[in-house]
Amino acid sequence: MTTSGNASIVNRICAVFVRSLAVNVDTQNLPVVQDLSSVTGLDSLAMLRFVAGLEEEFGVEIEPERLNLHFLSNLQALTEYFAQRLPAAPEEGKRIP
Amino acid sequence: MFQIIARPRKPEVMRRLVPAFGPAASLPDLQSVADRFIANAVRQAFDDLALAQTEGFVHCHAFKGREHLDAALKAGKGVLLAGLHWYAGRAGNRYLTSLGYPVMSVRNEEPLDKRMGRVGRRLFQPRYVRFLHEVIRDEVFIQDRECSLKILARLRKGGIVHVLLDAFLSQQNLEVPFLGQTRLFPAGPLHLARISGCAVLPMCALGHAQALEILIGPPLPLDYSLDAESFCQTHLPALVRILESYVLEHPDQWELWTKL
Repeated sequence: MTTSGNASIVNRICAVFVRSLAVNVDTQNLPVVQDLSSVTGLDSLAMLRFVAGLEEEFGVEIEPERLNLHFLSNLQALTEYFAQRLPAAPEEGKRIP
Repeated sequence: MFQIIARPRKPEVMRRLVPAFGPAASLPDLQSVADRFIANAVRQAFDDLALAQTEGFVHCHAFKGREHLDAALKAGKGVLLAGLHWYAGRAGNRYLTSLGYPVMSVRNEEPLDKRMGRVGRRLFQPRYVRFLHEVIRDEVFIQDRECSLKILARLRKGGIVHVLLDAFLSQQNLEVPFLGQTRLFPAGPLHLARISGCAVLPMCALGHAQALEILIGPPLPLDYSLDAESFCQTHLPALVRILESYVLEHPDQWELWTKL
């Protein structure tokens, strides 16, 4: 996955995060935060909404072993995980005509 | 000693039984229910003492609906056993575990019991919670930020999770008609069911550890096409209605009349 691809995944994760929490968080600041668990309002139910939102957004079921706060609150780990699980898209400029 | 502690609860129970059963119920009948309610409270305390120290203490006389549990487990998406605070609930879970159905219980580490007072909550409650761990063993606390994730993980591994629907175990609660009034019920278990795709089976444990009866109902029909909020608003009242019917059938077995 390219850097721009990863950036797009980060944006999608952040959008899901904000949606699932229903709180007033600026998505532009989230990549700087990195540790999503530090955001106030992230209770057990919000975490569940976040998981459901991520699975819906990326069409991927997260394995039981990864259903923990350590993994799910780490933006970088999440980005790498979804980058690996998503089917590789052809890079910009290399598309077959 | 337990009789002395439990006796003052009788008038409180009577006050709640009357609206739940309506004017058709006779006073002697309701008094009999209240008496058995007190006796069951005492029995539960002795059961807990025995369960904390003894293996194989539970004797089950009847296990109805085991086929529902087996079929749901076969589907591989986990099972949410939805019950209420039955006096024999802890014995029921221990029995299921002994049969090879390990059950994870969802618990409140800091239950609010006003009768205990501040000192009691500070000194006695933590000890009681630790004691109950010896009885329940496989548990997750709602105070744990990873609580719902642990439940979801257990369900995704095809496991069984027992939730008490009459406890305020969720950040989101819905008002549902129950026993002649409305009461708040947690929506969290239904959110979990929607995300995991697990089966939701109503459950009732009757009697006591030495004469246990387990009843597991057929799976609750769930409409996964609904969005999260509608899913809870549609299915939670349906589930509560089933559990309410169990309470009305076995009123002396439900622990929370005094907290209705």
